[in-house]
Amino acid sequence: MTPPRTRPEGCLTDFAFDRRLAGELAAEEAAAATAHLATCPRCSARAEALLRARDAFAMAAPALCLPMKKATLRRLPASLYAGLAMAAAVLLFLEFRPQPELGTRAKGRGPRIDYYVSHADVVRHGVVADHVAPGDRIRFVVAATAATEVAILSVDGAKNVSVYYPSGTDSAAVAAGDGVALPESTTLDATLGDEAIYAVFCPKSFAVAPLRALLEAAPAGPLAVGNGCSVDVIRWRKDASLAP
Amino acid sequence: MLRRARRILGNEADAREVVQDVFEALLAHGASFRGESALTTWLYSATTNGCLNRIRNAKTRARLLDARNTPEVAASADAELTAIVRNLLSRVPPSLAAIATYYYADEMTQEEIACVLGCSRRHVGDLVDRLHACLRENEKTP
Repeated sequence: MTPPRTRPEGCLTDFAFDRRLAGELAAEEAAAATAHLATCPRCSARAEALLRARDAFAMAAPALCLPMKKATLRRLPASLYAGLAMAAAVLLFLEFRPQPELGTRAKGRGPRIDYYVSHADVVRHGVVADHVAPGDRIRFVVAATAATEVAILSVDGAKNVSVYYPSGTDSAAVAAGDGVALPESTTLDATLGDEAIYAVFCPKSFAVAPLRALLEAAPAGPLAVGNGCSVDVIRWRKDASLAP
Repeated sequence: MLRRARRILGNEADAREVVQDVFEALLAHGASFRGESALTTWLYSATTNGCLNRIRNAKTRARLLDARNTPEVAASADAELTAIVRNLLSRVPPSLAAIATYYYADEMTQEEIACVLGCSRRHVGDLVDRLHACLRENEKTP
């Protein structure tokens, strides 16, 4: 016997609900879904049920801890590794949202990143909706109210992930201050397009490789980190027409 | 993902293992998620394939398709859908298992199925026709 399809025409599927919760619906789709939910008892009940299930799962899941120095994923006990995967599921599910427009920054009260651009031997401060060029040199500065550990990663226009700072395998310490310049500058390569720069701050030293793996798995972000850590994001567009 | 795996497998422990496998793959071989599809779409596809691969394994197939739902699944609103999935998967060949799950258990639109499978809507229509033919043939078989 062929099973019945009971979903009334026009009602949302679970796939649509999940995409809506993840912020993946296009603006028109999202507006249509919201309008439908306002008038459909079946779909509004399903939406509430899915939200309750999501909240219950989030409450039961273990907290995600960023792997600290000398504690790689493979060395974690199996139970912790399972917890990490499950928590990653929650974080990806809860935090995957449309990305801000070019030049906007993620909100937050933690440490912040800023930068200076050296273009054709002229040094300027980074600006909102910035355009940079291949060959430009970038010098990052950090503003933090307390000493912190930092790593800076980039997802370029081709979705390639790079570590801009530090050059080693672990994060680097930065003193407290309003504008502490990092000791290394970065020369931008020839890959054009929108680029997102993720500055990750934690109170303790951490390995950079797991963060890189997370961004390679989900180049559109967001980058989820553990308790006590924070992420500041800046974006620019690399434009060949500006090349010196 | 866990909800989805529970629905297909009807077993909490197996569902959690599949979810863990998907995230292990995502963390270890993230390049396979190339950002060409939205993350939810990729996760739907990976979870479904993980569950169906588990069912294809001869040792687990009988256990999963013949067993009762575990308490977590039995208590969920998806228990009836799990029964539908089990019935379908016991009647269709592996090549139609995914389309059967998406079409009857998830009741996705053909556009959504095309999105998850990464194929055209016309191909989804062909798969649905083959699925219907398979189920009709199955009904004739004593």
